[in-house]
Amino acid sequence: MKKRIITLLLIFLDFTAFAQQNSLSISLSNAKFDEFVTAVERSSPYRFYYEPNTTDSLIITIDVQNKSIDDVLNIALANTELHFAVDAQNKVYVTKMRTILTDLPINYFRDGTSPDDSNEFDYSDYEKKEQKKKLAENRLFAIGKKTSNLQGNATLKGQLRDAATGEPLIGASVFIEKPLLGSSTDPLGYYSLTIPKGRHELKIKSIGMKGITRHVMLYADGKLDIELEEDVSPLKEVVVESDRDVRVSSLQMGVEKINIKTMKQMPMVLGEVDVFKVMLTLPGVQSAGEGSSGINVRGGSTSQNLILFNSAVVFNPSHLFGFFSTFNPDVVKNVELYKSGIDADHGGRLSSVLDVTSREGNKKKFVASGGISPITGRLTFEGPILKDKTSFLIGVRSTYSDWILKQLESKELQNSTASFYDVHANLSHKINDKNDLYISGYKSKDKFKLSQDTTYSYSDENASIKWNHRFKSKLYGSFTGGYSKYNYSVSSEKNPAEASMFDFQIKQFNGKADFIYMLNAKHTLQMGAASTHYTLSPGSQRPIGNESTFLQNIMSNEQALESALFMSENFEVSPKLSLYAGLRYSFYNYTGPKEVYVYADGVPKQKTTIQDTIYYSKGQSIKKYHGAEPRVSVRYLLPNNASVKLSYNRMRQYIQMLSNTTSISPTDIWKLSDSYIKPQIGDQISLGFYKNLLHNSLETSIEAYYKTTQNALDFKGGAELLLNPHLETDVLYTHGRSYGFEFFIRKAAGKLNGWISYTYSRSQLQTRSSFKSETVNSGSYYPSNYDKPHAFNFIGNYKLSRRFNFSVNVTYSTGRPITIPLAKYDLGGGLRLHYGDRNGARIPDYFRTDISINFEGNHKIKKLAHSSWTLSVYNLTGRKNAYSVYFVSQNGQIKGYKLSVFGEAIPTLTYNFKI
Amino acid sequence: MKKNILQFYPIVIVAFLVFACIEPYAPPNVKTDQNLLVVDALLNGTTGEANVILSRSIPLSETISQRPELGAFVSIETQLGNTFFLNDNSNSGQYSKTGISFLPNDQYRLVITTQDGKQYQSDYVELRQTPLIDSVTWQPVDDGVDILINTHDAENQTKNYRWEYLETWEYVSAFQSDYVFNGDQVIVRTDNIYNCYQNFIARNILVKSTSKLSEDIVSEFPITFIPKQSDRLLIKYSILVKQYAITNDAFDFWELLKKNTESLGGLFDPLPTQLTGNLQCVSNPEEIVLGYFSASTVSESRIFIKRKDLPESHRFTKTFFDCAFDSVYFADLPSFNRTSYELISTFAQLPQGYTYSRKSCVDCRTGSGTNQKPLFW
Repeated sequence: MKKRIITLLLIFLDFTAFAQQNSLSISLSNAKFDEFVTAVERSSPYRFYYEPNTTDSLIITIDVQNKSIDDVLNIALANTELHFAVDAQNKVYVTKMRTILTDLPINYFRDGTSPDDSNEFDYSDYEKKEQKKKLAENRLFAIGKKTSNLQGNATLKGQLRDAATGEPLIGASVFIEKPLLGSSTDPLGYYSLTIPKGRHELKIKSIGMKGITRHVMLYADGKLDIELEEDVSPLKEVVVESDRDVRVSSLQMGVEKINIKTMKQMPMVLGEVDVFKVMLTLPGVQSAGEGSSGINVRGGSTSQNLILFNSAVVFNPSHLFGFFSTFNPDVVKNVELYKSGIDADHGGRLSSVLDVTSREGNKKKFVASGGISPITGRLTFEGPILKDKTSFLIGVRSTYSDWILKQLESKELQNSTASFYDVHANLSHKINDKNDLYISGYKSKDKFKLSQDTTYSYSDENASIKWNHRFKSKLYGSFTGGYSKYNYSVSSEKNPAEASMFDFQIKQFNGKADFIYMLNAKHTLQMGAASTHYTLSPGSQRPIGNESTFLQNIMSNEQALESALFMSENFEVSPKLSLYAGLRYSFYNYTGPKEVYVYADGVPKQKTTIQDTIYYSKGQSIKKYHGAEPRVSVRYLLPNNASVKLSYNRMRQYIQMLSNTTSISPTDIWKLSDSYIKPQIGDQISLGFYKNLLHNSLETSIEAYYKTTQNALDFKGGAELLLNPHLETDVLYTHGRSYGFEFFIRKAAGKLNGWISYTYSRSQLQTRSSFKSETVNSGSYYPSNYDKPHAFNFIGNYKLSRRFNFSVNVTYSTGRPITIPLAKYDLGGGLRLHYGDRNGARIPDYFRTDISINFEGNHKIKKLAHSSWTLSVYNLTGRKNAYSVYFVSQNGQIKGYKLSVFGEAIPTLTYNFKI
Repeated sequence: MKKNILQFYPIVIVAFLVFACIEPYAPPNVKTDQNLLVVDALLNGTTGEANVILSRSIPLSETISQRPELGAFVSIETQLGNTFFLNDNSNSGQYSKTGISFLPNDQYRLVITTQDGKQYQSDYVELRQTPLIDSVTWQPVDDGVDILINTHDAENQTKNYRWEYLETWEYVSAFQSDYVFNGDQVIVRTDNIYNCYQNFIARNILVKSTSKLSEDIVSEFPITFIPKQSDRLLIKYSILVKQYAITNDAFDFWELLKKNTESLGGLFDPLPTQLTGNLQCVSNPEEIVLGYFSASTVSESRIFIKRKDLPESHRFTKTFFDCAFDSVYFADLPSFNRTSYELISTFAQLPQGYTYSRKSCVDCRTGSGTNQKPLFW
């Protein structure tokens, strides 16, 4: 810090005969407030009354001749939050925030009238805060040792934090407009900005936070930490600032970021805020249907998404087999979905990366929050362990659907059980300015039993530890260790003689070291290494009880190590052109102990063509794969808030999900690539045009993509996936192609906000084999299970008043493809069906409208509990959208049926609170 | 392919149950010229009979349910060189042959030449020995009665089973008629139109594999369920269960066929698929042939359930909602509508007339039953 030099120059005293008003002449430079007071008191009859701690930081520079005390104080206290009042006894009261009234209001003692409300008493807490903010915004921050040499550049660094919770703000932008130079904060919330020396208006923007400005006078390299307030729409303004220009100016394309606040405003099904349902309203994201878990991104399968929760992999992100996501909305901070232009540090899945990050616990105070919906109850508790340094957060969510089932009339339902819970916990610790530590844990569990027959249960758990370290001012390191486990079991106890239990499990340990080197304003380098070790238990079936004659069948474990090296460079070629080039090189090693079948050459792989079995011992390599995954992105800024971007990436996926049902089902299994099942390879090229209109209030974009996949799996008719030791005989290797364009308009701010998206897309597969038994539809392209060419979404949000908020969601899409019967025939006494080409027809189109109304409690900032109510109606029009269409042979007749999951309008009421 | 023993019944959850709904759906009309040969063939090792039913597949849009394939030449060839020609019975698409003799270690295949000159044949199949049925039992459950089967193979050879069953039950009409008006006069009724017998042949597929069990035992496999509302259990009920030992491939075939045509379209049901059996078209290998040819001995078991065997709680009663009786004077008999009504009896309060009711309330044959008592009854 610069030492303050105080110079007392001259004090002119000039007593005049004017009774009450003494005129003053005073000249001070960089004086402290008490020096100013001493000076005034020495030369006048005024006596000051003030609280020293409100004035000790004040520095006064003043030079006046023959001014009244009011004028002098007005000048001295300009741009501060201090007020003054002078009474008849020449006493000067200097107060913070409020002016002392030296007179009673006129007519105060007169009978029958009430005193006027004086504005001076009406400082609300809010205004107080605003004033503080204004103070910081108007203040000029001098950075570095004062010098007259303002040639060249200097680097300004610091950390951005949430003013309420102390949480570092990641990915926030810090920039100046003239010339346009900026940077964004790193994973620790630090920014580093190299700009020309001199006076600048520094702008700071972060999602969900208020955009603010700081005036800086940059003399030399220096530091400026900034705290941002959360963007609670204040009572008197409805301006929501967001990172509107990011869509145009960032290098990243095909990315969707949504924070939890936006999600909470959207209409929801059965009162649950669901990360996946929100994603489904975005262009290029689809699902097989209601009640199906997982998302299909740009024509990819549900297993081609890398779902990360605080950097740990989540295998099954859904509750109740897909009706809800396992991410507790009270814990989630934001969700980012990368559809294309995936950076080199991510890999392992073809389609997308869905990165869910949780909030950090409040570092300043203890907070409890929660909510009640018809299906679940939620409770979150957070707070500091060491104030401003260490905090924790625990969120629990559980269902009481078991209780609901018991209330139902049907006996079958009363005997059914359905329950789930999820727990999230995390700890963040700021060791010092250079080191941060995060520990996160997650567990979700589901159990379902129908009529005391078959019990399904599954559980997903993971834990991660992340250490962020700043080596030098420009070199950051991030080290992550993670563990994920997913397992499910199906037990059937109806017949004691055949009671059995099936178990599946996949476990992985992963580690990653990631270094970011911010060479200068134009070059950012990233490099690192990642490694994942998988242990997969493909299935075991065991008898239950003494009576059971079930044969124990335990398939041997599979294990593999997937490693990758990556490096990338972000290069700002010119203010208009920026370039990202990255390379990931992945290695995969499938190891023993394991027995591997050898099949005869030149004939289809079948049980009957097995010729030999080779045993591999523990750790012995069975099959290795490796390959390069280049990633390239280019952005070119066009005039008038527009840009064009191009990206190409290649991804490799070494772990596949096997499913021959339409959606993720409780019996899907994962499979590691082995001697026969090759890794999937995906290539995507995408081109986008972005333009913001009407002063950035309207964002528009068009993105087009073309994507191919190799070695994606499909299945022969009637393939058996569970406990199958020779899966390679049942799978088909497909070549996939998907293409489409996505049109998107968003109005992020204003009373009315929301977005409209339209997507045209195709997703097709083709089998390429010379054997008839290994082809589908004679080897021609056929639509994938989730090929829905037209999709339209509208999300509208209107703030009726400060406490009422009204949202509408409209969704339309083409019906998904199905295989339908062409003919019927009589066999074994009944009519049977002969099915035609795979996915040769479609179910009826899908259309749905939802609405919701949020009602917030009163807006006093300080009160015991903040609460809100949400009333939502899902499927307002009650349209019976087809989930599936199927045909059965009943009493000698073929009948077609359409199944709708939510065949009527479903209203729900949710209560949320925060203490 | 292996079959997992766990049956993944459609999973239904709270929301699904409360809000889901199922509606009839007419499939889009897909034009198809597919006219595929369907072969339903069994070589019965117990009776020495071969029964083959040939038909053609029917486009879904057509309402007829059968299209027999007539005038084909059907034969069974054995690996040891014998050939048995089947007779075309009564131009109904049914071909049969009795008195076939079987040699140990022989295998059999079906050879068909259709009228259009195309030749079809099946894979060679062995004659499977079907173990005896240990028992067919029944068990009262909440809403009716379960019929269960127990069987085993001490040799551990059978592993895969298929069943068919035929139900027969006795039932009565609402009123027992003592008299009949023959148009001229009223005479005492001599035929019994009060007690009738109804047959029902099951059409659903029943298969079971014990390959995942340590012993080849089928215990309490549910054959069928008789719901409370059914009139099967009112007086006397009988079920004949036929058991066939089948091969692994046949098991996979029937199991898939069951999934394709009987699964309930639930959220996690496997997708339907094109399915062919063990027959090929020799003349055109690309042509799809539907159906299956099996050879095995057959075991049968019949049980009876009489009303008095049932626990009190399961002695169901039937209410004839639509049956009321009226009376007719002797003098009005000439105008009595004999086609729609039947006389019942005399009536103490009405010495000069008869009671009568609608035919369906008096004559048990009005439905599909017969008043011929089966021989085994």
